[in-house]
Amino acid sequence: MRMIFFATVFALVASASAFAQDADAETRAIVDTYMAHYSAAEFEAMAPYMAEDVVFSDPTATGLGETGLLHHGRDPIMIALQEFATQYNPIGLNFEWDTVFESNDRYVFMGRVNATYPTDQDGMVFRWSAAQTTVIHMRDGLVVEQFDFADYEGAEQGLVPVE
Amino acid sequence: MKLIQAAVFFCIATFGSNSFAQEVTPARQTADAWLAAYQAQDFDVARTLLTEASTFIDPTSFGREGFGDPINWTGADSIIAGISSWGLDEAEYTFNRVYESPGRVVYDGSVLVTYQNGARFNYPIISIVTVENGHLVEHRDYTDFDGATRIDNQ
Repeated sequence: MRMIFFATVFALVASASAFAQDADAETRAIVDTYMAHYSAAEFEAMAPYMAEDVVFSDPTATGLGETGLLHHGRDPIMIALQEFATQYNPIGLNFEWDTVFESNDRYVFMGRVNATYPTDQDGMVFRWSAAQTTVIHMRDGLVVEQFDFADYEGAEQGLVPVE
Repeated sequence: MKLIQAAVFFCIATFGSNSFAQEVTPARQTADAWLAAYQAQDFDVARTLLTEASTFIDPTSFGREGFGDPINWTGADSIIAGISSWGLDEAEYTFNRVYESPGRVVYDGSVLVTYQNGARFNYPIISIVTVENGHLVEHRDYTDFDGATRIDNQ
């Protein structure tokens, strides 16, 4: 009887562990897809991954007061992103992450942003490049918080050939 | 969201902004002084940079099994008591990138922690230090606890 009990407990623990690993992998895949859309400046495709009460913050953004850039809620965030896309037509943000880790549902991406924009010069784009870290906080498979930190004042920018 | 800010840079197309990054601002001096005191575990100096409203937080510590209380302290006494409880000799940062925006410095890299029992661990980390009027407003860490590497003593 005791062996059956232990076997049952073991099976339950193993099952729970496997479930947790599956859930972690699934969440990581969601985060990677979300960040791929962000990197490609596919802003509309990001919306389904955001919780309704998502917070989007960039406290390093300059010229916007002490809090920097701060939006509460999916709809205001999407409006801001769509306005930006309409006005400036970014080609992509082209992130390059050299360190990525997860802890306590926070997915941390450390590296650079290489935002590109069209120009009227054939074969050239305008590139704005800076150190950046993005932290994505996930809950129930949705983004509930995004922090961006970028080196605006140390950014490199100029025309570069289209890759 | 760097997007709007990137747009601003794109619109004004200024190429002289790097000169700002090379100045040592008062905020950078305060943030560096705080981080130096933290690395040396010099709590006398650290206390001079703290106020009762200062916060020290690491959201990646919340809810971790076997971790103990989460890192989320407010006020000089609470922060110093919290850091002291780790039993560190020192915490030595290696920076991959350091950058700042007004009142805020971002330290991106890893931290080699030496405990008083001699154990040493290297943690990938990003620390965002916010300061105001010569004092710490917030020390915010995101730490790769699971990605820590143990460093053998020589």
